[in-house]
Amino acid sequence: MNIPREQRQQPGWHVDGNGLAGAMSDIFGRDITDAMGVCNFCGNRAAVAEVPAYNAGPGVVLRCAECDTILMRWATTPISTWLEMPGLRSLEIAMQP
Amino acid sequence: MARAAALPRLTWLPATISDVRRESATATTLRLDVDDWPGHVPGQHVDLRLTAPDGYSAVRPYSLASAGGSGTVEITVDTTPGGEVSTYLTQGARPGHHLEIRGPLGKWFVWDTSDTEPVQLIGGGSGIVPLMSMLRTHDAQQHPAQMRLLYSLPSAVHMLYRPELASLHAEGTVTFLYTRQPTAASTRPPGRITADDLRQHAINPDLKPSAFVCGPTGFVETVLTLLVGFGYDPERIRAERYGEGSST
Repeated sequence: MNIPREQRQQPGWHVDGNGLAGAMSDIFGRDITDAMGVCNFCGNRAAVAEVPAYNAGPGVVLRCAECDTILMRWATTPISTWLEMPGLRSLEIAMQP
Repeated sequence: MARAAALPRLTWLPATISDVRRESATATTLRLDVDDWPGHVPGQHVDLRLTAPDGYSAVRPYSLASAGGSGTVEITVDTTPGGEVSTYLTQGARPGHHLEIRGPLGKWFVWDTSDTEPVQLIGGGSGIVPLMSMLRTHDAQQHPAQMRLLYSLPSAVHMLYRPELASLHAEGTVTFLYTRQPTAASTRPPGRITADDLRQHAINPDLKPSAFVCGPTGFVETVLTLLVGFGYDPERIRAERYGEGSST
C-alpha cells in the first residue's frame, strides 16, 4: 500500500495509537498505550497512544508523527499475527504496578 | 490508573444495553449492564464487538462517558455515514440488546484523580466524550482541582450532554465555542478556536495546568499549537485524535 502522505492524512484515514489499545493488547499481552517509543530515523520520542495509526487497510500501520517513518506494522490472519517494527529504535514499557 | 492496570488478560465481557438516550440528531448514549466490570478511570475507552448471526463480527473503540469509579458503563456514539457499527448503535440499538465489550483500555489519555493541579479540557465535536467522563468524575468526587472545559461545536443543536453542560456553563466551568452558528446570547463571532479564546477562557498557564485535548486530528493539532504558544507545558498536555469516519 503506497498512498501519498497528503492523502493518508486526510480525515478518515488515521486515528491514533490510543484507539488501538485493545488490538495491541492482543499482541503484547498488556495495554502499552503509555509506553514511550523512539523513532529510529529522527529520534522523536512519543507515547504509543499519540502515534498516528492507519487502520483503513487490511493491516495496521503506526508512523512517526514527525518524519512519517513506519514504526510498527502488523496484520492478523486466522492463524497468526505478523508484526514488524522497522522504524522503532526502542520501546520503554513501564513496570506493572 | 492502578485499578485498570491491575487487570489480568483482556477478555470480552457480555453486555446488555439497559438504556438508550438520544443526545443530538446524530449521537446516542448507551448504558450497558456488564457483570464483573472492573471500573474505569476517566479518559479510558472500551472496544465494542458486534457479531452477526453468520459469525461476522466488527470491533470499534468507544470512549467511556460515565464518571470513573462509578461502576456505570456509558458510551456515546456519533453516527458516521455508512458506518456499519455506529449506524446500528445510534439507530437500531434498544434496551435488552446484547453485545460484547472489553476494557477499560488506555493508560495515557487518563486523568489521575490523585493530581491536584488545575485541568484544562478542550474538546472538538464528539471529542467531548472522554472529557465528559473527566468532568463527571470531578463533579462526583467534588474534586478540589480547578477544571474547565472549552467545547468547540458547530451550533447548539450539536451539543451533547446538554442539561449537564448548560448548568456547568452557568457556573463558568464550561465555554462553548460555536464554529458555524452562535446562540443569540453569544458575542463571539462563529469560527474555529483561536488564541484569543484561550486567553479569555482557558486556565492561566502560570497555574501550571495540565490539559487534555480530544477531537478530530486537525482540531487537535491546532489546539496543541495554540496551547504551547499560550504558555502551556507540552509535557502536561495529552491528546487524543480520531480520524473522522475511520473507526466507525
